[in-house]
Amino acid sequence: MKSLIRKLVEAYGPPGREDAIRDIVADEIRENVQSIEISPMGSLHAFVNKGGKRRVMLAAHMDEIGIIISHIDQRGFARFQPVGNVDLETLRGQGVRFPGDIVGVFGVDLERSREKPPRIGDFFIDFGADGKQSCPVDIGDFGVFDRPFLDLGRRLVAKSLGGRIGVAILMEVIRQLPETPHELQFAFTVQEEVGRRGGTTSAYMLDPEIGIAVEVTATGDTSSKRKLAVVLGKGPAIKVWDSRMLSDPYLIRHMAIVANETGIAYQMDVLQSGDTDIPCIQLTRAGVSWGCISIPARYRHTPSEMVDYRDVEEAVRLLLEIIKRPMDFGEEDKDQVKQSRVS
Amino acid sequence: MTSEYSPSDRPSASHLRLLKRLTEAVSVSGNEGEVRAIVREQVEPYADELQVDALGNLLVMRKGRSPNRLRVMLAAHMDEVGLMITAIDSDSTLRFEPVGWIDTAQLPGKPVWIGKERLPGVVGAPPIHLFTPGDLTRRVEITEMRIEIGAQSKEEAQRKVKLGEQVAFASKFTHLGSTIRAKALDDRLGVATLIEIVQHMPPEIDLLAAFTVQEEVGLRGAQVAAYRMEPDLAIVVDCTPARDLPTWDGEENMQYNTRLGEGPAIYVADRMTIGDPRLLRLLIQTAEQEGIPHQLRQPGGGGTDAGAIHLSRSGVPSISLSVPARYAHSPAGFASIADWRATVCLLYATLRRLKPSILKRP
Repeated sequence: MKSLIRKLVEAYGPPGREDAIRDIVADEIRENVQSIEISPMGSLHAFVNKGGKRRVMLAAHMDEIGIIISHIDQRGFARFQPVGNVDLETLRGQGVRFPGDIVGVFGVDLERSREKPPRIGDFFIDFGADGKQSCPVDIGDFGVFDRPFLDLGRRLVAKSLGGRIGVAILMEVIRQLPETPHELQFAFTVQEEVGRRGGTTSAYMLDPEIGIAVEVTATGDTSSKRKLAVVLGKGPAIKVWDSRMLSDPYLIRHMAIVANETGIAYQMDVLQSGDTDIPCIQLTRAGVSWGCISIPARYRHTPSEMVDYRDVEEAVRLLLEIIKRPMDFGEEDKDQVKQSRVS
Repeated sequence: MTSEYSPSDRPSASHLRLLKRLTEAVSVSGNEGEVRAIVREQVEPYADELQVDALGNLLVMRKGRSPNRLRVMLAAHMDEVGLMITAIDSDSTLRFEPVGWIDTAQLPGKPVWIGKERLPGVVGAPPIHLFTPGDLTRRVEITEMRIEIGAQSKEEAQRKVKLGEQVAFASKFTHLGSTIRAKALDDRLGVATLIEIVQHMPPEIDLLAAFTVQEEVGLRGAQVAAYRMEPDLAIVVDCTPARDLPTWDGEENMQYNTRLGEGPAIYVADRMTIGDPRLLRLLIQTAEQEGIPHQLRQPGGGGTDAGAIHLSRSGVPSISLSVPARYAHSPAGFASIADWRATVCLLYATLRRLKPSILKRP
């Protein structure tokens, strides 16, 4: 699975330009799924056991944060705007890659930034160009961090792990696909980093009853001050809430029961942050029973995101166990609700 | 006959008359009736279907003639930024809040029209003769500003103005050689563009023209219009700021957004939408092959109706195209007539090239 992860994280796929990732996914999974479709937004949907008992959407996003060129200045430096949640602190000295093997490095106008922390307008990309004419990029070109995959044994470090580790996990689930009573809708979505745009439109298109996203979550194990219980290496985390969403408690309990029964270590993910103004898949159409399996990750949204490989493997195992089983959770309680309404 | 049409890159007298009517009409977000009436009069004879939806969007359908037509949504918003009266003070002056995004520092001293009757008023400001030194550097907050209507008493003001009435900049359209000066160029230039496309529609597509409401307060009209229309793709025509004047310190201007006189601005990405790369390529190719001036809008902030449309239902491949204008959201925007005509030409030529194969993915 590590070679798959390497291939995915080293590929180029900023928001709206996920084609290379989509091609990798489609090539690898085609044989193991019933059918594949591409949404109007560019998300890839793969179906297994169509017409199965419950429609279960399993989602991961293909895109990564990046930058977009906004101006080429007179000296041949490219000015840019962030695409997604880019931490300016991580840019100094970092490489940036464009399609066609074009690579540059971030520079900062030191005159302007001596007093205060530099702002986006103080940064530029230096391609080693002599002047405006020889700058190899143009307005509107998207760049991503230039960073090779690092295999530290138990721990993996890379750019773009935030979405791609979920993509790798879902691809591995498809490779090991067990018998399932459900219609599985694997959604490899686009434009998550700019506001979950591909996820919400995919959910509308797929109209699932139940959905599980596979993403990364923040850890509290690098600082004594950060009050976050999630740590690297203690298993995948079942998301309880973040600022956008309270996961369906029945789905949380179901995932925890499956993990307990199968001896899979897990953590509970309570993330007190996140963008609140972005749409939530839970609210699609008439509502979806939504939950999330989070992979603990350090240094999110930097060129060096770090995850623990055991957490990744256990997340695959947990998902395989979940999709094998019936998902009738909550039915008893729901019947009670119906009855009380009638009486 | 329509297929013979080709939009002119020069404005006719009737173009300018229409722009004058559209920009002098008052349609602050939520009350777009005046512009809607003009649009209806202009497009009704050409429409196969026309309806005004629950929010006030004017939706026009016109069928094409070629086989295998795409359902193409075009959107331009009818509303403009303005103010709303929130209280009448005991001294007969009016308190107000902004509707949409307005630089309140621009307001003092500006003449305004209040309500449907266009009651004239002015946003009060202390005369510079009586300034104390601190007044020059202090930013006046909107809560300190008042509109005066010349009423002698609170009772008289109450007879003339009702709470909730909207206020627009009192600006007349002016034609200044190669440019025009008006309020609400954002987005009456888009509205005028869509009117012309509906009237002279290319036969290659099914046209779904949405003249939308409440864009300036959050793309609200476009959201429901897209849900109803369910298009295959969408092109939004708007008006975007040009901040292309020299910088005060003579340094290179690296954040101009767009430049006047360089043609329609094509959007790669703004804060709310990443333009569909296939439509982006088509617009650029069409402009290059037809020799139509064009520019890429600097990627970054801002947003258009595309922000709502592209997320409708299962998603809609969308892109925006804007006429550049200086001093947007002010009483006096400046736009180049040639840029506007080039926008109409580029949109028309692009629509003629739209075939279902554009949406195929390799």
